[in-house]
Amino acid sequence: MAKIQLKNVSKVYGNNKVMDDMNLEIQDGSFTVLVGPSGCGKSTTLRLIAGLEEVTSGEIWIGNHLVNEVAPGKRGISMVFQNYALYPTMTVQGNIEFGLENMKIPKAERKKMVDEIVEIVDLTEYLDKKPQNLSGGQRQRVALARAMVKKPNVFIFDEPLSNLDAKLRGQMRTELIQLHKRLGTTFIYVTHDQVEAMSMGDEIVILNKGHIMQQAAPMEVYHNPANQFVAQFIGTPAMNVISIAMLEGKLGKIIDERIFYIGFRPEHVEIQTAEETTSGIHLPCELLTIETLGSETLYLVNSDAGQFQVKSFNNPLMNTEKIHVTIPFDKLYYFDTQGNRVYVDELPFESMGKEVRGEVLI
Amino acid sequence: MKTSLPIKILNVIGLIVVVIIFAMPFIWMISTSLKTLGETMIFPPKWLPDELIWENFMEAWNSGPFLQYFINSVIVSVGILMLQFITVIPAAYAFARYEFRCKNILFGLVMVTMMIPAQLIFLPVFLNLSEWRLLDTLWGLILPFATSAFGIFMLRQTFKQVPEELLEAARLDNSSEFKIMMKMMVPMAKPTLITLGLFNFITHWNDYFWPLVMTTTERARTLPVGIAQLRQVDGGVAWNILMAGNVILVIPILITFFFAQRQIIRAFTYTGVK
Repeated sequence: MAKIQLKNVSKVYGNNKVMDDMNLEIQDGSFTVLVGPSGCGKSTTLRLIAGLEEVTSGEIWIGNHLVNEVAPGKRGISMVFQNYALYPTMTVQGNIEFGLENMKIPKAERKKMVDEIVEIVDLTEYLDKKPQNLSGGQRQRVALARAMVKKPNVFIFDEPLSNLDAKLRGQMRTELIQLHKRLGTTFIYVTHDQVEAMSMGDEIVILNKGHIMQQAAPMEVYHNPANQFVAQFIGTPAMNVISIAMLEGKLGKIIDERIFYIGFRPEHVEIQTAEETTSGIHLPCELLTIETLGSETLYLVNSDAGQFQVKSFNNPLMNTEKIHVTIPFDKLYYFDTQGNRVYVDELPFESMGKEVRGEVLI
Repeated sequence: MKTSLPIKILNVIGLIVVVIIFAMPFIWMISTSLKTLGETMIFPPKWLPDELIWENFMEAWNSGPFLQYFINSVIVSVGILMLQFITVIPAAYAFARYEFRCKNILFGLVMVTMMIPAQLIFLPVFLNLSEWRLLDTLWGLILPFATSAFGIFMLRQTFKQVPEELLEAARLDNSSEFKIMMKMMVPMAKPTLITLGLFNFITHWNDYFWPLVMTTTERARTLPVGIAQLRQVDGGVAWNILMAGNVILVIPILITFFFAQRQIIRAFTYTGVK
């Protein structure tokens, strides 16, 4: 078990700086998810930790060891690859055993360790099969077994579920969470799927263009995003962000001059069905599209402030064209011109006075 | 897509023509090797001998130190094969998987050697070997072919197809580079290696020119040179004996080919495991 630290790490490919002066600390025993759009440097981070790439500058520490010069096989790391990377010419047994063999573990002991692991992942009857004769889920389990059998200090997962179908993916997600609980080892997990990140990690690191945008627990990231990028990356659909200029006339005078954008989550927008009670921004909107997802409904609406999305858990409004919505003041997020969060203690604009609408539309 | 009947028939006819063109000399060789000397001369030619004269083979075999030739041929062909694998596999692995200084220039040089006509190289190599006193030795027949640019090229292509992830997984499993090469790369390139080995074996088993130039005594002569000498018996050419010698020459190749043909087909269709 080990804590992992990246200190001022930079990585340059040719003229392309993919990572600039990154500092990252991954707690011992945590399930840390690195998430971000493609090209954000999450896989590079992973490969640097695993030793598959060399840092251009900076230090990587695993536990109390500086591992910059340590070969990948000697870092106490196991990795599960996106395409499993099973050795095609070896049987399941050979695949799982290969790492142990290189660690010079005697044959009898190896056999015991392999048997134990295949029992856990339920592959006992497939020991003599070649990987190409296994299904996707089985291959995934072989890859897991191969990683587990070495009893590493750190597990690294590089988008391991992206090749599985939706149902199996859900199942494997639960299995991985249970596995982490049982082993208590540090897990580092890379994905571009924010649902995976939110549901699995106990810590999320959101990356963009080689920089850490935010590192926090999943709910913290959702409720308290540090900047516009995180706000829009986490949550489905993404947070609506509107320039404050578009809301002129809907708000009172802006007191805080730093504020440039206002954000709000689609699920926080209230569709007015009765007399207005919540204090917030009122906007008459036109319905553009409706997506019904069963338990919830997504609307794309157009208002004076531009287009935005609304998520509602009520029954879909099928025959309506115009609605009134309220965006509660206490659910607003404020960002400056750079997209950084502006934290405010009280409403950063003058209230227009609570007006009660008599108009009921639905 | 279904092909229509006339096209199918044309296909079959075409195939038959090709088979005849390729198989005819072969059949002619075998049939001649079983004829009497008289039968080889008559006109119109006879396709099948009246009586199968198996003694032709004995006569061919006994008309020179053929056992010596045969052993020499085996040593030379197998020696070249082994040396080439030893040199070609690491070179191909390095060219396919490593970044090092002047890699492209070096690889270019290897490729250039394929473009130089063999005839240009023979003389300097001959002089070289004669300086090293390797004329008329088996080493003189083996060493000039100790590596193969074509082999390096072909194997490099195969190695390049192996997904990088596999090697990374092996490195994380604390595997040495040598072990990666031998336990990952080589088994995956098996069809290519067998094909290379077979081409190699056939080429050098059949090679006539170089052993002829290099050898002056029976000590180092190989089968093709020995068999060519059958022509000089008695001034006239005993075609039946000569062909019997040729059949003896060809049999080992036929046997190897028979066992390797499935692998050869795989070498050209191999796409790796998804």
